[in-house]
Amino acid sequence: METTNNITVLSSFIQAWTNEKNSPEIFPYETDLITEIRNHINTQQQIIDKNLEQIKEEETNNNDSQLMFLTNIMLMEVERLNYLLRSYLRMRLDKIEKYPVYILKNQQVRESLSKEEQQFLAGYFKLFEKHMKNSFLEKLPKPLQKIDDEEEGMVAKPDVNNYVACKINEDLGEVQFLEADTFNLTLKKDDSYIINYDHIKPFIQSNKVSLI
Amino acid sequence: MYNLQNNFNPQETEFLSGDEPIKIIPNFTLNQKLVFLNGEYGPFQPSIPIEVPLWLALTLRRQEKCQITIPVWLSVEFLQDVLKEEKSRKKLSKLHPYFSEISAQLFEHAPNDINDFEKVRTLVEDIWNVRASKIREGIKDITNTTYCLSISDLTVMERELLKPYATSALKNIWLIFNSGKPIKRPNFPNQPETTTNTTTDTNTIQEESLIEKEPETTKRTLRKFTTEDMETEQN
Repeated sequence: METTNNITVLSSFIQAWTNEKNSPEIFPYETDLITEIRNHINTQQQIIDKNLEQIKEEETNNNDSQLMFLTNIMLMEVERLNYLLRSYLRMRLDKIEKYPVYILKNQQVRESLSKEEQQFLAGYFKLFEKHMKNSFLEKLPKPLQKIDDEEEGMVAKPDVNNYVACKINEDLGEVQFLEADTFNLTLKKDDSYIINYDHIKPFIQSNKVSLI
Repeated sequence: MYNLQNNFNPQETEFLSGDEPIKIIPNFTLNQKLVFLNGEYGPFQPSIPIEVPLWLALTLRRQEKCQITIPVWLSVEFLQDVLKEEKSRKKLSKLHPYFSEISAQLFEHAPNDINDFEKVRTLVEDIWNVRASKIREGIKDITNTTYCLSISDLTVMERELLKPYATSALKNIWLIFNSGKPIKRPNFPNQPETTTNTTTDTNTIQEESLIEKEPETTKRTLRKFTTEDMETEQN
């Protein structure tokens, strides 16, 4: 079995997918990984289409069944990759729909979205605002009409204090977490914990800890 | 809200286990290489073992184009050792992370390739039951001061089954534990009601800061529990 460098593309993407699934926040959009995966899918899909045409044209041929067999396998692999991509994108879209105002107000989070996702957000928020206004906001007294009022708690934010399962990738030694009382935890390689997301957030960005 | 669940359901873990490598012995010839995202596989020649992803192995097996070499950790001897180890001590033994998924798929699609199929199946079930009871016992150790749970030796299936319960339980404990703290508000400059326009104003809202501006004058005395039993380890 010859493995090219692409073995890390799939596993990194699955890790990004898992991170997205477990965390309440939106991670930066994995442009490079997704471009590579889509390129692979496109090349495979072209071969598949060519093979299917060839099979249709030819009559019963001995090579035919082998070609069909090969094409089916390629189709299966493409289906698997498509499923991963779709699931990843859907998770992000669901998060965008859940926290539209927060993302719009927050430049840093907005940069985590791809261009298409930002467009989606703009359109979605327009619809959302219009719907709220028409339903009942217009009929409320003026000070209560704001949809983006953070002080009054109108903005839904991702709750960073959700608990997540994570795996430690490097030896981090004794780490101190600040809580009502501080507590220490020795983080060794390959340990796994269910722990407050806020506490391990700084480690995720440097890939020292990954969500599982 | 399906997409916002924080755990994988069994079908999804089975999907993830599909990428694990496994050895097969094909009975067909394919002179081309199969080019997948994570590598090239082939060419295939009869009776020459080759390593492929599990999903491909099962597909080929279903079409009876290969024979699957059962991994070592699914043999009767190995499983008997594991069962003995599990029964003798409180800690969980190390298993292949996709133990349940791979064994279930192999039982379904390749029962004839497994030596002593019935025995293996019984052993796998016994191991699962022993571990499940250990995990249940470990959960009982969660107290109202638990801040994290160690899950190092769980397989993927066990972990995903545990996650919804454990994450929400620990979160609630955390909430109650921190309920005595002063309420956090985002850092807004104190102004009377301003008629702000819309939402794309970026520099007023900072990242949520949990630290109040004034120093904490009163030491929190609400918590009377000792700090010794702060860590709960799942054994």
